Amino acid sequence: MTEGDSTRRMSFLEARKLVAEFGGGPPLRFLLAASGTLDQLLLYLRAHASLIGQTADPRLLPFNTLAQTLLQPPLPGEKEVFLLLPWDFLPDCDWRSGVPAESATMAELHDRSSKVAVQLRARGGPGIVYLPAPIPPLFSNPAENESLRAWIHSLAAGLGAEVLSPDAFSLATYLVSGCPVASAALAGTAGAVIAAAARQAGPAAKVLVTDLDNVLWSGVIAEDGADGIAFQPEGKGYRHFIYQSFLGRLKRDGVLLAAVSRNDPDMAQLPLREGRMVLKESDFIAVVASYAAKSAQIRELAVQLNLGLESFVFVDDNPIELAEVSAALPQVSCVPFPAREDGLPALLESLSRRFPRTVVTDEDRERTELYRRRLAGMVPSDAAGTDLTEFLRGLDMTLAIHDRSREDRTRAVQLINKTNQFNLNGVRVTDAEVALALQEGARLYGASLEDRHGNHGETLACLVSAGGEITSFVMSCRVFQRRLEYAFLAWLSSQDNPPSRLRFAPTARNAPIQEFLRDPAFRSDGDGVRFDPARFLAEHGQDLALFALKAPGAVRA
Amino acid sequence: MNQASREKLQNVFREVFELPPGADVASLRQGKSEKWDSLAHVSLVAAIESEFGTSLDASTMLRIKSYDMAVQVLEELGQ
Repeated sequence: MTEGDSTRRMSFLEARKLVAEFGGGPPLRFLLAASGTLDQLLLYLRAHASLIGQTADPRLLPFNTLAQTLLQPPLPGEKEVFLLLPWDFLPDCDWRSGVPAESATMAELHDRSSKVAVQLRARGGPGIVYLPAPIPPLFSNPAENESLRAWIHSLAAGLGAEVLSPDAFSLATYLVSGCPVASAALAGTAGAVIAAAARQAGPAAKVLVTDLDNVLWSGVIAEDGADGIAFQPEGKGYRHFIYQSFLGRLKRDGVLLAAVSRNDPDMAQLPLREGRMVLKESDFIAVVASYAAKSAQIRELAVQLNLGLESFVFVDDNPIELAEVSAALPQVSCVPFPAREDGLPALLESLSRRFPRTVVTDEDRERTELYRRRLAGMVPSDAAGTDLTEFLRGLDMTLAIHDRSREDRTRAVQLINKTNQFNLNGVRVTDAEVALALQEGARLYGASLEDRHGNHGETLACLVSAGGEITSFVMSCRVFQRRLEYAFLAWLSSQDNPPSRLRFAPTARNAPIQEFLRDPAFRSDGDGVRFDPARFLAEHGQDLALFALKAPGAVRA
Repeated sequence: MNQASREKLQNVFREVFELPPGADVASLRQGKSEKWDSLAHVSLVAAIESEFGTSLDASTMLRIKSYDMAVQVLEELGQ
């Protein structure tokens, strides 16, 4: 399950659809203890549990019986999740009782609320989700009211609660139905509850698998080179420095670190071997670099380590990679690396929650070296990954193809000269050379991509000579796995005078385009690559259908 | 309210009251339908709020006593 799933906005009809289409899975049984009515939450609990392949089976308490429940011991073997509000610590704060004419002293309120916290702690670490609803003014002095609110909040936080947004509370809903959760927050609250229940039910995570490019460092090592990536405590490298330092602490606490990257192995390991970063190669039990599916690498790691997939947490910045791993390995917790600095605290808080440690032993500290020896010589898996067609359809992708033969070609030429991985031959061109080719009848195309995650800009360039040979074909690694290259070439194949050859040359870094050229529409003839546009269009017209198309020429079958 | 929103609202009613796909929801009224009890009413309001991304105050929640009233409330909210 991808972490965004647990907090994502999910409407009523979407939740119904998810539940209706879910084929069923192992039950996720737990007590969901709250003082209010939670019937409206059930649908969303089931929907969120379905995202991790489980059937939610919560036991709810009768209305207003939370306090009695706390006086009794937990049922043997029953997992517990408490959804708490301020008045569960202090009934005086319950809006449904009105505002008391006279309040107890602050010391008395602290004492009574602390006793509730002690009762909760004595239950052996239940999952706790705290909804910090506003409280009525018990005191005449606003500062005392704020102090009380903060005190209760700190009690919840001290219990390890996951704290929801105050907006998740609706006084209207609470007064009318007894349900404290705002309708708009039902999905998010259910996501937090299911995540807490799943943590209760499962073993603690043991392995953190991290992506490298734009996660462990800023930049793409195969494109920017070792000197072009950033990981220092300054500028764009700062958040990656913080992330690395946090991973370093996890490793010292006994968490196993592994890296999985779509990269050439030597390139991927270079920054870790140079010794300039916080983390070194020896901090990882394995650094797996491969262009095959990341889910296959994580599965292989689990086999080699003899650990369940529930023990794995996967961090990546690319939603496509997260979706692929999440779909293939629903037991793995998939956590997105934030695109902005402001998302970093939430990431580290979330990871801390997944790797809780109260005591760290010498054995914990030596664990990495132990497992490094076990994984020495591990070969990346070449098993196929998940079919992402359905996921890609949901991205609402728009492919805009630009004829750069006459328009501004600056970006297209720049792409040809800076792209390494998806690059037909690694040949760099000057603007004058491109201008000359265009004068002789060549065609230059650029392609831009926009999807649900934003505008990725112009990420593909293709130069076709007057004789119908593709002499340059490059695509930014930022849009790998979206089938953009297939869609573009399918479109080009449908146009007048489609290309019939590609001027391919292998380079040290262009493994991704070598993989692309394994398609049966390409055939090597010793002097380049022959191309069968009709065959390519027949096979990849479906890739074109993944996009809304804006192009200078319509698709012709 | 446009046609797409009307269809969405009808789907909400069908799902909440577990009606068959072709069932007429326009004539549904609280008190005349056995399925429209107090619990179903709370579910309906929560579903409407969730589906249309809106938040209703208590008096508005209690005004929704038929499909037509739900349409009116949502139109008042600019849906």
